[in-house]
Amino acid sequence: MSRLAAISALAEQSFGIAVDGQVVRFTGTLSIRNPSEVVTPFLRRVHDAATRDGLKQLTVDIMQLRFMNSSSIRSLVDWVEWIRREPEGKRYVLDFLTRPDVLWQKTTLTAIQSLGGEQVVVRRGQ
Amino acid sequence: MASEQQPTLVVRVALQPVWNQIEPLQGYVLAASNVHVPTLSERTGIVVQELLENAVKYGDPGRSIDFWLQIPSGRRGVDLSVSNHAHPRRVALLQQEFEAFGPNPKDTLARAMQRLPRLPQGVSMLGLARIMNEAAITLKVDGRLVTVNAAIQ
Repeated sequence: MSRLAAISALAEQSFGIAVDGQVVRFTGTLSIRNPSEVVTPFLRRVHDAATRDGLKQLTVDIMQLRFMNSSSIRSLVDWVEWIRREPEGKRYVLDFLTRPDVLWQKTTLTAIQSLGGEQVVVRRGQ
Repeated sequence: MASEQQPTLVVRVALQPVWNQIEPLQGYVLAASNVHVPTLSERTGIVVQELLENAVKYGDPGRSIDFWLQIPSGRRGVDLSVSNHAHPRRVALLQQEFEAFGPNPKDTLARAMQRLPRLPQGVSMLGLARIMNEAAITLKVDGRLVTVNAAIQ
């Protein structure tokens, strides 16, 4: 069993993050006060598992994520930074699947893409 | 002389600086703006959420936050303000942030993201940069009273 598959979902009152194969799926509304204590450690586990599994790409599906506050956007930026700091052979691409009609997703992911360079791809889902 | 048109909606709330007070107010604002100015409602929701979060996080925990929002009639827009009392160090930091804003909101947001790795965990300082991508904002400081005005059009 892959290390990624062994990660249990993070299920909070207002949002959830679940790993399904090579897809990390966010749902709900992420506007908690302390994402650095909840979201960041979870994404770190995902990152560590992805690198140990030798993945080259991970899809991040945020199509069902209605909102992210700026504190939780930091968790995504941290994730990109962890990948960038890995040796080249261990880096993988974060392939964000977004909703074209949701403004904050477009603005935020455009900025994250400029930060992440080739480690970040942004796609529009249906 | 033409009579002054009444605004479509005015909301004024004195909010306790408690995190769980944000969502109900933001939810109402989002729903109301979706009725009156649907093309601006998402941006309004973002601005309201981020301003209130900053006020709760960095404001005086013993003083209420003043929230005001108006949807004017006769033009498409949303005007709002959030006022709170803050520690002088926080006020100075806020003024610094405003002064550092460049003319291009997208560049400001990108720069704010680039500095994140240098900031301690739990700190993002992204809120204002995010807000200025959605609204024209101004800062007014009167001692320890900080007011951010936002105009969304």
